[in-house]
Amino acid sequence: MRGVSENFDADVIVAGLGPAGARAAAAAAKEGKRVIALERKRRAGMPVQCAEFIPTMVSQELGELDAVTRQRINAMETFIEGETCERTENFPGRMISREAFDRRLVEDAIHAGSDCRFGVKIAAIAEDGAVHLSDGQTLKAPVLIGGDGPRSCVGAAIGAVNTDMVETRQLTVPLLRAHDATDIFLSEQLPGGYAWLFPRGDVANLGAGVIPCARTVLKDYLNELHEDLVAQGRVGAEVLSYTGGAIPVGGRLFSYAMLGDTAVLLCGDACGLANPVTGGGIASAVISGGLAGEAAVGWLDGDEDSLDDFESELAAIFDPALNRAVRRRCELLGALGSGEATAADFRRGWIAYEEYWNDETTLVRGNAA
Amino acid sequence: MPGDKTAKGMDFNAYDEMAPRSPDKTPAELRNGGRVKSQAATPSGVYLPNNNIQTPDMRSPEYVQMSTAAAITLGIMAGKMYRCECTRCLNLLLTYPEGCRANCAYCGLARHREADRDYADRNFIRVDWPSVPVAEIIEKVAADGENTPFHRMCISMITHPNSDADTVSVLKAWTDRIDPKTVPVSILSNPTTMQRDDVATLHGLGADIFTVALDAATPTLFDRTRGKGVQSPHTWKKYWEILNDARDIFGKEKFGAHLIVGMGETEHDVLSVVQDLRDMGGHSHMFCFFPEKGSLMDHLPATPRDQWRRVQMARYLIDYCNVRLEHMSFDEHGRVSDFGLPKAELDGIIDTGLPFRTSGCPGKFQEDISACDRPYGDSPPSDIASFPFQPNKTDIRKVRRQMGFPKTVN
Repeated sequence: MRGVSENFDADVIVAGLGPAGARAAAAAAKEGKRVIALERKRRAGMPVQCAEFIPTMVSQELGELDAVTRQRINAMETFIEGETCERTENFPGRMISREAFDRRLVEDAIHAGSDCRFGVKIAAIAEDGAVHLSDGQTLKAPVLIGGDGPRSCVGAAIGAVNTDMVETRQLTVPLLRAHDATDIFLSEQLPGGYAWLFPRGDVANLGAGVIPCARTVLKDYLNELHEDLVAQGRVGAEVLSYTGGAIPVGGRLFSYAMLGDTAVLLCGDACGLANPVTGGGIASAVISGGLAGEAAVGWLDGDEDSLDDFESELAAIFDPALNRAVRRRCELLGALGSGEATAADFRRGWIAYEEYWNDETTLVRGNAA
Repeated sequence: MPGDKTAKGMDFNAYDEMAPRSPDKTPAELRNGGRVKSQAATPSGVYLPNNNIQTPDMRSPEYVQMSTAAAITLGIMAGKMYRCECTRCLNLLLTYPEGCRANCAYCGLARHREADRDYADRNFIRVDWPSVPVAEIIEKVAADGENTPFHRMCISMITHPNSDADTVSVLKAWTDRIDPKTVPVSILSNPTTMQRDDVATLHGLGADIFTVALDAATPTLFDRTRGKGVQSPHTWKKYWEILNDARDIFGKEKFGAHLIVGMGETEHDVLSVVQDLRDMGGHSHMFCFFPEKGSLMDHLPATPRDQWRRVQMARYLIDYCNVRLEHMSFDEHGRVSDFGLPKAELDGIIDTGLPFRTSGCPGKFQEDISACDRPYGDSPPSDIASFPFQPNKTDIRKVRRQMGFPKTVN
């Protein structure tokens, strides 16, 4: 048994209380482990840096989500260079309040027994795995879990760093006509990314993402798209709020390492699990967070295989989809770089089209009894 | 997370905690497929479930529904399955605008969902079931000949006044074109509407295996989840009557019963049924309870993994390793406390992974590997309850952790 020593502040320290960290904290605490979870933000989920769409599979992991759901999504509508619109049915999911969603997961972690601390900044992680906080305090545990997002300081401590990123900007605007689909705008003006209009009841999240070197286009592109949508009578001219953030798009990083005698595990965006094409990362954060918590319990209980098994499980669950997405993204970036991208290139690079899934031997879709 | 311990920290789903909720009242105009029949939209080709468009008026024997996995394997739907190249069982479901007339509490196809969505749009064992013309299915499978990926076809009858006759029609249409030796046929029956002669008819038409979805492991639980308790027509007595007919007509190893674990029975309860079936010469096909969205039990917890693994293991020992229920020990909650075999032997059996795969009618690999692999029918892929493929070493170690059964170190 590891972690029973009085010299430790906890059995598990979790950095980050987004979906990945909160699930990890809950999973470890549920098995009786002493968990301290640290979050830089002062409130769970705030400020929101998310387009707030979750696929159906998330509710299969977490159970009832009606309380955090703002509306249901049935389909996806894809526009290529603003000219064509193709509606793809059977893209079900929910638009959520990300703040309420995160708060619910943190409540689960607290209910399981985790000590969740907000407004706590990690200043450094020492070579022995000790966590130095900006208030001068130091915490140490046999397991440290990094669920602290794409620019994870835990990941950096073990050399697992997301290098490929997409930068995003998002406005919240009034939605004037009810809509049941997520709208996707693909354009050569948005290399490595896309723009979106995601309906959320009487408002919508209107955003775009691109590779960092093209970030200067974001503001103008979004303003223009906003004006178009206002002219179509779909959304209002008022901007209710702004947000933005970074999404890792390079694929999965290695998920664990030892720092001295501390086992360090990564989950969610910290481990590069966001989908490089869609940017979706909540489902993978929820799943990988739970698995990280379970692996921590195994390790603390003396199971020498638990860390390797964690890595294997992440690979089995996520690699086929991530690898395909990385390939497709690279192909499309290549086509855009040559200046000869066609609609066919966009179709091959986007999940709504059969071309995206064709000619592959790897496997991705999970629910298929 | 599915399969966690229950809210009260128990490692099994106890009877008192597993009561179904009451259904809402269905408006008269929506009963018996009213929404579909009033529009009478003519079907054209494949219909992919979508609750937001008009559902065509499709019915068997011209149409059947098939599992998402079967539709992907057959090339009817795009998509890839996690860690599965294909499914080996072509699961077909009779379909009618009126839908299944039963109201089983755990089932996504249940009658009470009439208000919520049309029959062809309902989820069943966690996934959508596209509707496809029978002729198109047969054409595609026949074209593949010996190269078909399917090791078995299965007709699920559902509870409907026409289902006996339509099962015969679909079976005839199939065997007219496809040699049952190439793709053997199973019948997942609806005992409530059947007589012994019906069982004999299906056998005479070339069906290979006959199964009964008993699902609930005790008469009380049966009544609560699929009988009087939910205004459903099924009875324990009738199910066993047809099961006995199947034993007589189809013979040993050619009949079986579905059982769902974790609906409130004890482990001893369900394993007693497993032993009874084995003593009759049949097999049990097991499912882990998962709260199906829209069902009357969708608010209840999935079966904790340790309970499920114990039952999976014990069932495999009874069905394929000549261990008997009497050799096993149970605690005061009816949980398996000893499997009746030395630990070293159990280790060897666990390491094969076979007890933890889906169970069901066999395919062409071996007797204890089911063709009916139902990918992710009873769990999400992040925490697999029934493996639709050979579990690898990491999977086996996870199973051992869930069972609390570390491997003996020599």
